[in-house]
Amino acid sequence: MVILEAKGVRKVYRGDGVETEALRGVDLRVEKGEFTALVGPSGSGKSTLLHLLAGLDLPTEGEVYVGGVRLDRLSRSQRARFRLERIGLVFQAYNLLPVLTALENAAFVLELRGVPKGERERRALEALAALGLKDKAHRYPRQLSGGEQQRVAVARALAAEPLVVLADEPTANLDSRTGLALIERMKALNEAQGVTFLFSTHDPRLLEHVRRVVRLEDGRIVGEEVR
Amino acid sequence: MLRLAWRNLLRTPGRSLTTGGVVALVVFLSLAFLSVYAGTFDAFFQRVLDRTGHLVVRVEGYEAKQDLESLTFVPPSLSLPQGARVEGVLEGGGLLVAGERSRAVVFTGLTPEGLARQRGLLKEGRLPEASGEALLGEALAKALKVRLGDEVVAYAPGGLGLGVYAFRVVGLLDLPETHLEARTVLVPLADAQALLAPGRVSRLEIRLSGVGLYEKEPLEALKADLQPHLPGLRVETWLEANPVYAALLPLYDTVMGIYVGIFFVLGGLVLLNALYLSLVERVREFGLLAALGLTGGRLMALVFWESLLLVGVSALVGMGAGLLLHLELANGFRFPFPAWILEQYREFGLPEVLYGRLGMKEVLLTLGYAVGVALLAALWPGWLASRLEPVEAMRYVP
Repeated sequence: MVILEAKGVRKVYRGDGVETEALRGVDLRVEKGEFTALVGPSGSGKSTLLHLLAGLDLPTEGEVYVGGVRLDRLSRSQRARFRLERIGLVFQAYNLLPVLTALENAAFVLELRGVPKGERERRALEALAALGLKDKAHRYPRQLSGGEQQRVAVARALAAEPLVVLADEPTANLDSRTGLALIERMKALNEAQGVTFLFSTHDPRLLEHVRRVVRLEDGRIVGEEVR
Repeated sequence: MLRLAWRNLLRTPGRSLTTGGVVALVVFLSLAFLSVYAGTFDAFFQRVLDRTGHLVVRVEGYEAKQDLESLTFVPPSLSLPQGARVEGVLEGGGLLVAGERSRAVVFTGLTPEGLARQRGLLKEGRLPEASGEALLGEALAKALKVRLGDEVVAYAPGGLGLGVYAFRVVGLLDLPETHLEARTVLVPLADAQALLAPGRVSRLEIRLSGVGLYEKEPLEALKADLQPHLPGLRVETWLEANPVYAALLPLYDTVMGIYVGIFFVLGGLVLLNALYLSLVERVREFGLLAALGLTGGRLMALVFWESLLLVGVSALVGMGAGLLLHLELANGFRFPFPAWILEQYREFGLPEVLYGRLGMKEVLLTLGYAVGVALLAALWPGWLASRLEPVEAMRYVP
């Protein structure tokens, strides 16, 4: 079952009279339960592609489908609601709300969906436990390390039980050991719970756990490797 | 959302305290101002009412009549409710002579109750206690060069009375308006009648008990009862008898609204500044919220909640302090001004001791302004937050 699909996606940024083509006709399909990495150097279009797949931005040309829904046809607020219901997001940094504890952050998306307190806390705690953070559930982000903060962000995405988790350079601000540990956790969840992951990275050392690797360069997919 | 808004306020306690402090101060000052303002208004109109009585009976068409004969009448008997009192007053022009000096004056004859009400205006001496005693305006006494205990002679020839009468000055009056002070002579009613018009009065003042200062219905009802039985006479309420002052009454709400509005506009600007700064500092956070799926409307709601919480809590604090002060003012207070300022104050006919008044209307007006300011100040930052593009917002570098 195809969860994510990009068909002939182009993205052109215009500013100060300059046009920058970030994506030049990308076609990509991600099946349910896949653990896929987007790799490529800085400026290759990884983040742009993830943003388009998350409905955070609209393609200049082409079509984007998530769970069979064509995202580029939805309005801004419809895309926001779609993200809330169906997509888990992890960013490179500034993932957490500083005024909420780890548990509250992990339960935040569920709270926005209107899930009752008891249920959302149970699900958030389960997600934190799966990422080894149960004992730090009541700490604020400032009391957590960078790696722990990223794991809380992953827990937030998982607690919401989305169709897919999209992670944009989740290890970029972590040292290599912590980054590797995070990817191992994500892989373990993929295998244990069947969660679909698509994440970007420019660090080749993180790819040994990844089954499918898609390479991007200059806005084009230049190669794909399935292990 | 409410919890998030509350915690966002607590993350910058210094700024929240400063902004909340301004709002609390504005609410406090507004309530203090409204209490004093209403107290001043009440004091002013209470004086007018004291001077006039609740209802006044005069000759029909008195405004156009000149001579004393057509302006005066023999007091008819009136059917009045329990507790009501009637006092006759006789006013007429004449000349007051002291030695070689003389001045044109207005003689006013008052009942003992009417004279007793002048006690607050008494600058020196005492009230008349017997026939032949008079109170003079201080300015008039100066002009005639008379002192307490001196004798003056009243001339009012050509009228219905004796036309001449001797008085001893027993007290001096300090009246709000100096030009009135230079023409005022107050004497017992019987003396004025002997001088000007025996057995007649120029007006009857009806004073009721248990009627509130601005209550109109009982006055209108009694007026409607009395008028048919008084041919040739006109019954007026105290506000009808003082049309210039009555015109001030509708201004009460307008002035109150404008003054308090100015306070709140200033407070609102401080609030707007705080909310805007808070938004600019948290652009990335708003971007994250939008990325997670918060719609523009819910982002705007978050900013509104923050504003309402900050203003709501601060307004309650300000209101508590304001109500405590009002309780003090309601027991009567004297402006802590130097004597020369109080002198000017008296010129406006206001007593030195005021009693604060704060009604539900004033409290609701203040709260309404506070909530309105909270919503208005949040409008622009809230709109900006709702328009943020998540991707751009998350890349924002403050």
